[in-house]
This record gives sequence, C-alpha cells and structure tokens, in this order.
Amino acid sequence: MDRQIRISGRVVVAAAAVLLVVAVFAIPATRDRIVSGFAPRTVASAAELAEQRDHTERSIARGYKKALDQLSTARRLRLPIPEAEADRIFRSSVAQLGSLRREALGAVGEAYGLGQADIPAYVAQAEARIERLGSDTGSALLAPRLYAIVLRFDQLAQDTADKGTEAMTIAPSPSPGR
Amino acid sequence: MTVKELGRWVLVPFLAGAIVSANTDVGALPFSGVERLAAVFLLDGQAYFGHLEDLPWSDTLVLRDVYYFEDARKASTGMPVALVKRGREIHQPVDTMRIRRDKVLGIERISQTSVVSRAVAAERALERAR
Repeated sequence: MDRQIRISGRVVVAAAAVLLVVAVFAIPATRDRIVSGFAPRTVASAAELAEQRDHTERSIARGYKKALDQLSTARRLRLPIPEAEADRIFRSSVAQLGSLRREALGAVGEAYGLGQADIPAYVAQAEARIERLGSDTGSALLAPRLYAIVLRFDQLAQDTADKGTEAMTIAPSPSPGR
Repeated sequence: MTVKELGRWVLVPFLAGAIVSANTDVGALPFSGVERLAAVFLLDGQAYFGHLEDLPWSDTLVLRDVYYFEDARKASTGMPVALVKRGREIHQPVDTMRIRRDKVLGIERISQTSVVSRAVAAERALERAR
C-alpha cells in the first residue's frame, strides 16, 4: 500500500538553507574568504605605531653609523692613494650614505601614509631627531614592512661603505704605458 | 511534559550547546572577540604565526595571515630575528598555508602583548595607512 509523505514548506526551506551553507563552506576558497573576513584582527594604536617608527629610525641610524665608521676607519689609515683623492672618495661615499638615509626615511614616511608633499619635511625632522637622540638605545621587533626598509638600507649602505673602502685602500694598478 | 517532549526541548538543545561550546573560543568570536594568533612549530625548527584552523578530522592544519621569523643578525635592528609576512617570497604564495599534521611539533597561542602580536598589529595599521 502506498503511503503519502508530507513535507512542510518550512522544512524544505530549512533544508535548502542548510545545504546552501554546507555548499558554501565546502568550497575551500569561499570558506577561507568567509573565515578570514570574520576573524577579529588587532590593529596597532597611534602610540604603538609611533614607537615602531622610532625604532625604525634608530635602526636606520645604526646602519648609517656602522657604514660611516667603516669609511672613517679606512680614511684614517695610511692609504696608497693621494690624500686629495682619498678625501674626494670619502666625501662622495658619505654623501651617498646621506642620500640613502634620506631615501630610507622617505620610504618610512610613505609606509606611514604620508603624501609626497609631506615626506621631505618628515625626512628633515627624522634626520634631526636621529642626530639629536643617537641610535644606541632600544630595539624592537619591527613590522615586516618597516623591517624590509631597514634591511634594504643596510644592504645599500654596506655596499656603499665597501666600495668606498676598496677605492681608498687598493693601490691603483700601474697602466701598461708606464 | 512527556519523555518525547523532554528529549526534543531539553536534551537536544543541551547536547547541541555542549558540542558547540566545547569547540568554540568565546574570546575569539567573529566581530566581538579578540584576535587569536597561534604559533605552529614544525619538526624542522621553523615556526609560523597566524590564524589557525585545526579541524580534528583533517590531516592538515590551515594557517591564514601567516608570518615567520627570519635571521636578522646582520641587520641593524638590534634583534636577532625579524618578522616577515608570508606572501612576498619569489613564488608569491597566497596567504593560506596548509601544514601536514605529522610535521607539527607543537602549537601555542600567542599573547596579545607579545612582540610578535604587536609587530603584526603594526603591520596591519600600516596596511590601512597606505
């Protein structure tokens, strides 16, 4: 004997809703987007950001000082090149270091959302702050974006210091015509 | 109240509530909770930080918004390690990372006041500032 099964409209709607949710969550990309979109995320306060900026500036100052110390040490040696030439190389290398430092500080300003018009003023203030406060105090785990700026500056500053040191300390090889 | 009604209105909600609450961190509920960052330590010594999805029936763990440590002894930050966000490598992986469960040495929840949490929070603030 055939029995008639009755299903109410509400049950059908509820079942469809459950199926829809299961289907959405079964697709990994969709689930990832939903889960990561809903997850609570902590964002640093203005004071914490200022602290990170301070540590970043000090890190750049440390990298600058290290490169400058290397060049100064090389300049104090008895060099195989004329004094005037050594001075020229030293001054040129120091100028390059200053330029790299300004670029790095400009990148920090950019990371903090400063407009292009505001960056030169920030760089000037940061340079004055670095000169005043020095670089010896404090260290912190930097935000990856800020660490990338410091790392890039370190590499370029070290490269500049190495090239300047090499140019000052290696005697020019005699040309075949001499 | 009949036994059938008791089962329907008391036992079923009780069991459902017990199952849900046992698998839910009330401190990390969407929209209202605090962030829950986890550290996953692998057998090879590498550690990854991020939002962990650890489903008991899956043989992989899922990490989202992933960060890891990099040797920074040569950098002028004054720290032996630096925090790097996964996704900026040469192969540019998308943010989700799946880790085989049998390669995991341990999992720990990270404090909100830890240096890692604070660096991650700063990174987010900088992302918003741009």
